[in-house]
Amino acid sequence: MKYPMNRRKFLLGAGGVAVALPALEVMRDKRARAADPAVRRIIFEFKPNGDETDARFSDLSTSDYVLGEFLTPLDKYRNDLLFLHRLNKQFDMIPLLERPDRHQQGGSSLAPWAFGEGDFPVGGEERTIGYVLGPSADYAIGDRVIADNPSVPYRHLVQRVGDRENHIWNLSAHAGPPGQKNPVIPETDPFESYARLFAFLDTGQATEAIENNLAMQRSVLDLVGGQLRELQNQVSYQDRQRLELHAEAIRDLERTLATTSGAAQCRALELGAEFDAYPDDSHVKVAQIFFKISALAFACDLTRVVNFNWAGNTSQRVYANLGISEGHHDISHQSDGAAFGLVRQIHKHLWEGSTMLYEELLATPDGDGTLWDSTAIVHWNELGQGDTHSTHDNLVVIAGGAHGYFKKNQLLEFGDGGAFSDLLATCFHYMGFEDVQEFGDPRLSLGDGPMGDVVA
Amino acid sequence: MPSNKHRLAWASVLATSAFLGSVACGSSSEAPAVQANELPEGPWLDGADPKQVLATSFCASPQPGDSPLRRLSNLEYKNTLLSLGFTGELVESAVLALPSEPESLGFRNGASALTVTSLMAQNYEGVAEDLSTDYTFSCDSAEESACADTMIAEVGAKTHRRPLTDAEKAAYRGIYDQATEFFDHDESLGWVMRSMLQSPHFLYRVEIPDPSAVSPVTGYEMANRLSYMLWQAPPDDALRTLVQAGQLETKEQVLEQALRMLGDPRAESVLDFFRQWLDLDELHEVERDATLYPSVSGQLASLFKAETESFLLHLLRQSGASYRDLLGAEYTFVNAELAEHYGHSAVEGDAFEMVEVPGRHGILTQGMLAAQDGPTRTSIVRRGLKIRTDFLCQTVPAPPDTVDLTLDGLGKDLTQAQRLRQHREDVSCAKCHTRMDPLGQVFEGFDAVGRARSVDEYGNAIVTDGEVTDSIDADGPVTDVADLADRLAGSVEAQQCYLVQNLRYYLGREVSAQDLCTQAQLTQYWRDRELSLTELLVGLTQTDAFLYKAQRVDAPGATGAPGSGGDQGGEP
Repeated sequence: MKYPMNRRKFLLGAGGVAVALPALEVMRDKRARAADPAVRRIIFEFKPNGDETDARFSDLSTSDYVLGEFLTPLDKYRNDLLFLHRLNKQFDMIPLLERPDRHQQGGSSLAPWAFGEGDFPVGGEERTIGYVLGPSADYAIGDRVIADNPSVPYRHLVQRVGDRENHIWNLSAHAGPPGQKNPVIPETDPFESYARLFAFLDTGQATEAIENNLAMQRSVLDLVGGQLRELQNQVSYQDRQRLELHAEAIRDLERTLATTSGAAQCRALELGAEFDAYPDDSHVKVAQIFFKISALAFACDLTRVVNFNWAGNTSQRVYANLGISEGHHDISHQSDGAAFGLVRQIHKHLWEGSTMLYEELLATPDGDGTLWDSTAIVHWNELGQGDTHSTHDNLVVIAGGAHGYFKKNQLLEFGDGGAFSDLLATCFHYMGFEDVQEFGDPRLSLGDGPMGDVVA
Repeated sequence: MPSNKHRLAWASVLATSAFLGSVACGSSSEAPAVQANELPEGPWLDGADPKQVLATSFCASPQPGDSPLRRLSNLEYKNTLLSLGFTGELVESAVLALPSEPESLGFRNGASALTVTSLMAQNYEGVAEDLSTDYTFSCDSAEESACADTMIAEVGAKTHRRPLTDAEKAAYRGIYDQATEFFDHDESLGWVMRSMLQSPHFLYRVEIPDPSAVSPVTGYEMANRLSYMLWQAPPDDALRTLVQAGQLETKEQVLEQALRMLGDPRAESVLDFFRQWLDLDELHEVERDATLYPSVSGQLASLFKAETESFLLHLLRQSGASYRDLLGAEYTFVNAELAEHYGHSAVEGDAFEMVEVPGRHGILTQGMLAAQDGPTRTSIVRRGLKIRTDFLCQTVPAPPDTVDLTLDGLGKDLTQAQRLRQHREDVSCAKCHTRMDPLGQVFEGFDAVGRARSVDEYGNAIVTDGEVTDSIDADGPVTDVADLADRLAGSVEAQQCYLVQNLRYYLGREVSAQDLCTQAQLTQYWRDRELSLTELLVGLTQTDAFLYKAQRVDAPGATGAPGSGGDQGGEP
């Protein structure tokens, strides 16, 4: 399907917005939106291959910290940033023979569960492993959001830059439930993503036509759901589970039919000419459009959770734009000064890219402020440092206003302590789900509940 | 994965057995007798005598292994839409938007990985909407209601790939009737089509298992198996007619159709197996440093792909072309542009033609090898890994934590191979690299853009000596890639690997101990036909895994569950 998708009609319920005006200037209109200003949003943003632990900061003071070279792009935003330094993912608490390798487990850190059987080779081991056995935090949080807010059509958006193929080394979102392997395939073409999510901005249809379409779509999905239920009774249990996933997807579709969006900021975007999203040198442009899509999705209240990935884990992207000719993963495994120089160069570039997301959120009105005020961006990496595959010394950066939930302009030193899964439980609390005391495999948690240290 | 202990045990069997030219040493003698109920440890046949396996009590009754519900792959989905009469351009653009299927066992059509998530459901919904808009159906009857019934019955039979039940017809009729409240006749038929295109009976190749026993695959289910295996598309009218006449029930009838279908141009779809096995579909990602490879065409990936596909089609069109030809043919296919790239001058035009190029020896010497290399140089490790994992079907661990991938600095004046040799002096590295590097070494006579060479990127003289190790019957030094190719062509282990890869792809799942009978059946069939590439496909349609489906299992560990330890007679 080519953009614009005039023939695809994503249907709104009665009273929805159907304006098709391009121009970014509209997005900067400061008119008050009709939606609830207390809405909370979260973005998990992934970078690959680890960085250089000792080069993150040149001063580790809590308040007077000094950002290292590759984090300097964040300096102008420090008043809304919280740095978690040397946070442990606690993977060593899983017995060795139950673990995948660090890349595989690190890349699924948002889903801190044990792994199932499969055929992917494990690093350094004469065995294979499958996908993780449980949902990722973005999926689980999104699940809670749509359960409490039926008007929100999408549980989450999952986006990845580069890589058309999908496998254990580049899938960070998982649907679970606990005990089941269900990797969630991300969107990788931003133009297709935009067309899929926002076709409703171009319907040009009268209300009666919309309602007629809506009624028929519901009937179609009812029929499909009924066929799935009937088929489930006739097949083996493994197939029944997969059909149940399909049935859940149909229920998700049904929910999208009931979408309304009264937000004044829910306006069409001008994305510019289409380009091939997959060559290495497209990565910045692709990320930029995904950031715009995420901001618009928030503005239209299509979702409140985004899982964005700069690449898959073990990314071999060649950053020719930086004058680099070797793959990122290969560089990350080298321990000499020159290699670390390249690692710092790459990460500085990616952090500069992250600030494009900040600017999109800052530029999008939301109530009396902007989306930045109501969003937490949780930056994470599969590893602490690439050459050692460390997972005890991770850097996590929490950015955004987040309704003032998290501490600001501070560096918290964990000294290889803490637990990443407990941070994820804290994210549930931030989003309003305070009944969650732990998320994932209990062995990956310290058992003390969410991390009060990070909360303001 | 087969244990090394198991492999070593069967190595002694192979050393004294005489399979079809497969063993280079040892006196010819029959394999030691296998007791009636003694099966190989599995999951693969390896060097076991297929006749003796088939003589066991386990194989006395059909053993189909797992029969998972299979969602259409993106390619099958596209071909199925085309078969319904939608225009190519419309279908191509629709399918282009679908996310790539998750990889499993090296292929993208594994049943367990092909689920319908929210993103897929919305994509399918969007495709259905696009294709059903402006939908029309020509009826003999001028009466719209009767026309609707005709459309539902005829189109429904195609989308469901079997006749609809009365209940299904009534359900789709309900969609039509409701739609006519708001829309005209054609638009209402469009809503029916939209429903059918989202039906699980369209999106999956539905086979209903018998709750009480292993059962034969017959009728429409067999027609679907044949057509999606050999054409990646739904059954044609000929198959449907046979089903309606009850003439697709026996093994012989299946064989007859397999032969017919392999002779049809649509059988070119079997190239998809090779595209995935040989990473042809990853060639588009090949990027090379422009400074080191300044004159390389931007079309190189397409040229390499066309080279190998032309070569494969040439082989597949000859019933006698064998696995040995796949690895050892001393020709390739080039057009003028690729010929010039290879330094070969006798070809003109855009069409690919067969040429004998010195040094070219089967698929291992074709440009598709470039999918394993990096932007600035060849990768001995990845080339060797490809052979180890996809031609010998062995597992090589991924790099361990703290691995240092630095080869530079181990000796600037050394070749990549020499630096790797030093690297292997580290015991922790040697464990895996002794299994990859000596295999990858033999390819050094070709650079990272597929050209023959005598010096590497730094001007060092190329050495192609390598070695096959840790195999059942292919161990020993090899002098170059042609030598390696011939060694693999004659290796029972490599032949079995090729067979297993085909089973993985065409069955859409892993091959387990439950499939030992299928493996034995197929191995014997294939050997009896001199390892013919096309006869392997025909033989696959004659196996238990293809002709039968597993009994329904209602819960883990229940009777009949594969590997559950259930009470099926003769289970290994």
